[in-house]
Amino acid sequence: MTQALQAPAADRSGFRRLVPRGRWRAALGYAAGLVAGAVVWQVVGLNSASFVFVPLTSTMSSLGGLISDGSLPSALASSFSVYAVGEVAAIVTGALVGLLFARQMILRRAFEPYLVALYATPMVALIPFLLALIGYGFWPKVVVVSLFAFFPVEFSTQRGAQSIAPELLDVARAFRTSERGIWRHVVVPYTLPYLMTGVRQALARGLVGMIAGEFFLSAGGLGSLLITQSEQFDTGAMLAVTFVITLTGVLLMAAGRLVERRFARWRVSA
Amino acid sequence: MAGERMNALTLNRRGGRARNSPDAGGAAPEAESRRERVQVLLARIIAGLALLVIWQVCAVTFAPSYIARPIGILAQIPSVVGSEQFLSATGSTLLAVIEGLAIAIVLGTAAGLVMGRLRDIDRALRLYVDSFYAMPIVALVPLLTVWFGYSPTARLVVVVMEAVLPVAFSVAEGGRTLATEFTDVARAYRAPWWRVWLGIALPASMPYLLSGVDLAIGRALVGAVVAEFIASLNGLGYFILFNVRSFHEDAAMVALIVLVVFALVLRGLVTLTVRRALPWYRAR
Amino acid sequence: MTDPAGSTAGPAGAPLIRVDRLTKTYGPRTVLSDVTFDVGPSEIVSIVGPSGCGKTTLLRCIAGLTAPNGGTVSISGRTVTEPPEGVGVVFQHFGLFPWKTVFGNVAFGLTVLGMERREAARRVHELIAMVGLDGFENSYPYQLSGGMQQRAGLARALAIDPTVLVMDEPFASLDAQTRDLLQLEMLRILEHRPAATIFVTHSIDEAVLMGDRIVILAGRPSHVADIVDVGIPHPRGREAVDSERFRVVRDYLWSVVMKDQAVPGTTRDRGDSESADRHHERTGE
Repeated sequence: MTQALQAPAADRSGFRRLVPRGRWRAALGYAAGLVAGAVVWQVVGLNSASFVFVPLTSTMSSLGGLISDGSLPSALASSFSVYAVGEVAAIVTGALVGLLFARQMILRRAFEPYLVALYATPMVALIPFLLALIGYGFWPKVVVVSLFAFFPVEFSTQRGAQSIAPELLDVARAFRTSERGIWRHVVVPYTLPYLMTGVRQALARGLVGMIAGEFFLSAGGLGSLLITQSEQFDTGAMLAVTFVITLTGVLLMAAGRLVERRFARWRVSA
Repeated sequence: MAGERMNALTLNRRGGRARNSPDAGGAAPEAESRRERVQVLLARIIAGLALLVIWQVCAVTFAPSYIARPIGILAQIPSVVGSEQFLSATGSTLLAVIEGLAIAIVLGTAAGLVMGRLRDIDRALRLYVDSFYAMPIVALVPLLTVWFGYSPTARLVVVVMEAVLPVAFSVAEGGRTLATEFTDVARAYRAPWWRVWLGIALPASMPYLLSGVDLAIGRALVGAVVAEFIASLNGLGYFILFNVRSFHEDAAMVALIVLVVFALVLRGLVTLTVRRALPWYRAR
Repeated sequence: MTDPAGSTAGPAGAPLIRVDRLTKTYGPRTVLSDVTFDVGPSEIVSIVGPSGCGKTTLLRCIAGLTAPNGGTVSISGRTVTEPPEGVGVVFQHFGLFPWKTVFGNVAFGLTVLGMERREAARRVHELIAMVGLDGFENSYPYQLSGGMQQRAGLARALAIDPTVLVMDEPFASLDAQTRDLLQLEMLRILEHRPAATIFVTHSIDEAVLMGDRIVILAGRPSHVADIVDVGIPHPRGREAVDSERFRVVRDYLWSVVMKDQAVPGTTRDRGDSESADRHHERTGE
């Protein structure tokens, strides 16, 4: 456990002596950050023009307004239906492609450079092309989300399936395991944690895709709400929506990490 | 003969190395026979050609004429690359990204070092860093255009914001996991605080820093493109948007290719830096 | 077949495993050349040789994991071309599936065979008790020490009621004390349920303690330098190591191995080819 950096001489400030150790200190630290942030928000808001920044209190009331007039709930519903479908599609195809490429070495090595190039492409830049090709609406947005989310899943799954210790495969073969058995007993369980890491990353990337897609690909959804609000210079509402998006992002990330950890239990010493 | 072929998987360590992380120093590639290398190259060329052919055929048969296709793109390359519009757009975007990355690296490293070593500040800031990291920064772009207008400054801010987080995060993680042994040695020799920071914390954080930069590059490009889309700024992103809208998709594709090449070059630079500057590093 | 004490001996009963002029090459390099020996149905044959002499390769050929280039392996009269029925394998690095519990791992062979659940569970519990892992059925490999993991590996191999047991340096990854303990336990278990056992080791002492006969591999390419009859009666306990016979056999083995090691030209490129063998197999040939 790394300690807070201190000068070698016993030079502890009086403040540190006042504050109790361990858990309390940690909680205090977080709380202090939270309070400081809230205070900064309020103060800056009160001291700026309303189209630049808005105090915390006004933001909260804007949030209330958005909820009660239904615009936020419907935007959430729209966004997350797109997100859910896109993520599921990406995870399933990503896992399958990853397994396929791990299995077939020829395919993998042949397509490796192109996958790398695609992985490095800023997917946002593809959105205009997609718009021209498949238009507006629900499914184009799903495609965007899937595009963003696909690659981390594919990459992680492939990497996992490729890295199975040869000895484990030997064990399976020595016990006369059928091909199907090897997939069921060795490949899939081994790859699952890697897949989950990919899923965690895909959740984050998919969120970016969702918002970016909504900027361009139709009315409806949180992203499109933000655009409308920016055109109206309704900063309070924008901050409120941004806050909601941030909250969603944090929740998704937490969920992703939980899932990842659950499936990686047996890798503790790996 | 049974027993030789592994039916389930043909394991090949060579293809197994992580492509997108700095493969620092350690893993020496296994010697491939020349024959194998040629075979692989051939397979790649064939795969690439196959993809292009499928693309071309599908585009010609099924899609309207303005949809991008390989032959069209190739035809457009000379005129696009030569056009002033394109060159200024390229310069604009590339400069913005590089500038933003530079700023992000400085800020991120500083913030990361502080967070990694000073637990109290770490805890206070962690909430915000984690939240920002979990949030799609692109969601902030409309807000930033309200603050900074439809200006290059907005784009720069977006790029910096996108890039600073992975850097700060990675450096902080590096600082946090700095082996206690190192700090113990420093304290046993009564090293002054600045020596600990510069002589120990900084070099030990380098691998983490570079891994953060690697992530930042991708995010920075995304940020730049989104900013250009929304704010109609001169740049590769806007070039793409404009040309797609005016049914010149082939030209737009050229810009996209430049973006991809740029991303690959930057990340390649990071990998190179890791190999040269950190020969002692063995990836965990 | 040589016996330093002069008596003749052979496998008890008709041989179950026949290795006949086995040859294995990797590209231009011949690893094993003309290896021939038998193993009786309840006999333990130790295979000993220096690091990198192809012991593991030989084992893999017998277990059906690798195909030889020349010669044959036959078990119960049938030539081995793929992993045969009734062969239990114990691996040096345990080879437990990290995502399965001890129970799951031990039951693996039975699961593959499609054995009925309750019957399999009964057998698994019996084996777990036999190897002394009672109470750890639901533990994962990462929670166990090396010795415990290998016990689980052993139980797994025994679960399928094998007629042949193939062990690749099973105790090499363990600390000395655990190794000593498990050696004796292994002997006890095999007393209880005998099988044609092949025990590969690089430790001469271990080879003598464990084996009824010892096959010495030496040279480049590896060939059978000698086959020695150990002649120490069962059951063997710790005191067997102090017996006169043990010393005689061990010294003889040392002399054979030393002679091979001292030959100029062979010592220079004596590196560990075991991992190179693996590499060759992995990257295909």
